[in-house]
Amino acid sequence: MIAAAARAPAPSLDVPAFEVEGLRVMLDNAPLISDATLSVARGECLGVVGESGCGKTVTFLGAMGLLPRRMRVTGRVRLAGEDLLGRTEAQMERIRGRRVGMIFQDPQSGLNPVRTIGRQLIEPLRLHLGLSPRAARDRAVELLSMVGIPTPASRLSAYPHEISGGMAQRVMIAIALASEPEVLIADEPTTALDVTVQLQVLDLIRKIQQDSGLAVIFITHDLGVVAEICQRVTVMYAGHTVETQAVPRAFATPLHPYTDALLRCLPGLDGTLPAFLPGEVPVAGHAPPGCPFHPRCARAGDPCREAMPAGQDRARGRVACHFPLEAAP
Amino acid sequence: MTALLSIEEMAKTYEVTQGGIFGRKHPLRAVSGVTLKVEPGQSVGLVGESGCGKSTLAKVAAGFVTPSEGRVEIEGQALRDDRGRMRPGRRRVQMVFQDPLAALDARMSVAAQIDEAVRLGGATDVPAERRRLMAAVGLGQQFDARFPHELSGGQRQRVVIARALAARPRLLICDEPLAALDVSVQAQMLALLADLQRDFGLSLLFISHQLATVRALCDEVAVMYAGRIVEQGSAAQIFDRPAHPYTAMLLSTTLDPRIRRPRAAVAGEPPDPANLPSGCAFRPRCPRATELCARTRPELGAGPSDGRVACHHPLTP
Repeated sequence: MIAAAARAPAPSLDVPAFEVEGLRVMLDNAPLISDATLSVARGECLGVVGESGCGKTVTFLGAMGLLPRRMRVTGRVRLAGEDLLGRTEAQMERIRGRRVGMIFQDPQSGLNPVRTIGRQLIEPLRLHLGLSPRAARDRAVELLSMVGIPTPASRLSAYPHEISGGMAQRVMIAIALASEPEVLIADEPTTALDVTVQLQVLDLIRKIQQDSGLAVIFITHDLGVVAEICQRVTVMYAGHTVETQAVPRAFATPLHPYTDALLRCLPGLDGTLPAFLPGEVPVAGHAPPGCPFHPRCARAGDPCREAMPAGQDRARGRVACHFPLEAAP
Repeated sequence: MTALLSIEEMAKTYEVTQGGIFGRKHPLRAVSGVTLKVEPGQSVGLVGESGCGKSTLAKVAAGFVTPSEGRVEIEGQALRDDRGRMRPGRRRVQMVFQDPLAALDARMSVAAQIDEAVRLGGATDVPAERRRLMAAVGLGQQFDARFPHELSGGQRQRVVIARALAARPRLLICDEPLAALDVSVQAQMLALLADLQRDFGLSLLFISHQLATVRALCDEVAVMYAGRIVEQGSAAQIFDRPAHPYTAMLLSTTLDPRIRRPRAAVAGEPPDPANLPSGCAFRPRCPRATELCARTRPELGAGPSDGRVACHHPLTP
């Protein structure tokens, strides 16, 4: 259905579809992102979780060259093995429109309210794929039907306000996938939707990912959503990637105390009140010395107050912690 | 015992205009035939998808919206007198909304906002009462001089709750109070609401689409669909032995990293309230629907378990 694999410049299978390594984003002298390292393979869905203000969104805006100029982005960002940082704005624009699709939380604000859905869907097809008006229209109908919109041909002339939130998010997905990208970055795409509609959108993303080998990065604060559609999860805290593990193992046996604390914040399945995690994420530029999580961490010791541990690859995954939770023997 | 809040056979119809400003007006029934009681100290959860009427029901209970039909009583007294004016008893019911930033005055300090509510509540020693309320919601004195934009989402919601408590309410209506917050802050707020319920003897009418949260906080749960209550019962019954296929569908949509289970397919979206299907409104999405469901709308009655359900073909435990 989506021929992303055929269009990509034939990456070898062990090169990640998208990779961020030691990414740093500085605003003046304050680090917004101190060290973000993660990767996603073709046909894989990677969840990125953490509380608000942990840097989930900024990491990907930085990686895709969407931050204001005064924020300095360093480190490495690779799309199918090719470096992205240091490219010109024109080059990045082509990559964003063509090879990396992005969808955001509020579908209605991502759509232009005074243009029909058809026009917004046909434009990228004409621009990026060079399709004729006729072919672009046919493809638009195909895309709408793929994302589960009933009577797609008649929906082309609808305006965004004439469709429901769930439908609007489906249209956004159709637009993001129109140019047959290799990577889809989805930033809280289902947070504003009803649980029932959320599940339908998740099913849709999973199906497209499996059918086409699309790599999906799914940014969310909802661990349940990650468990539902992701194969691996990266946890961020205060501008650092602190843990990466396979799902569902990450939730059964988390490595980082922060991941463990987030899981304990969920109300019990039997209706018991959750434990709570005291304190809040430090504001960028005001992180305490050492590991930024140490003031909230039950396992913190002297080393945690002195130095942020580097991320280390372990048998079960990657973790940046002086005292990780090891699997019980 | 008189119920703290009693809503009987309540309906709310809005007039909506279709086809531009000169278009025809159509009645739109947001809520129909709803009967709901909240006893002193009880917490009742209200769940359902967007547009099912749960927020309209909450606004009617809080007195913000006048029902088109039916009665609303607080401690046995009608919310409005014969001339349609609000009775003082209305202050016994306070409401907390989803977006705390919209509920707070951006140009007033935390202390000033709470003081204003404290004065309306009739307390004599305003600073002492403010400190008591702020302590109750877990805000220290260092927050007195802060402004809403200087607070985190959780802290703002605490200020909103402190202000609501200043009126010495018996019933707190919370409309998705946790939806915009991180899981860590949600856990803190849940603990706070449970404490307030115990310490102040508060009743809660808690509206949420997060079912695990409702279960943690509520004794009784009502499930709404297309403007009507379709199932009502104890939290244990609703969560462990749902009788309405819609309740079962909602429960199956709960995503939780701790459970892995096969799920029934979830289909469709709620109907347009201006254009409801005949018979049972859930019929087009229901795997158990028959011809009977298209003909007759089922009334809320005793369910196969201990709750009440409006379904021709309820699930048996």
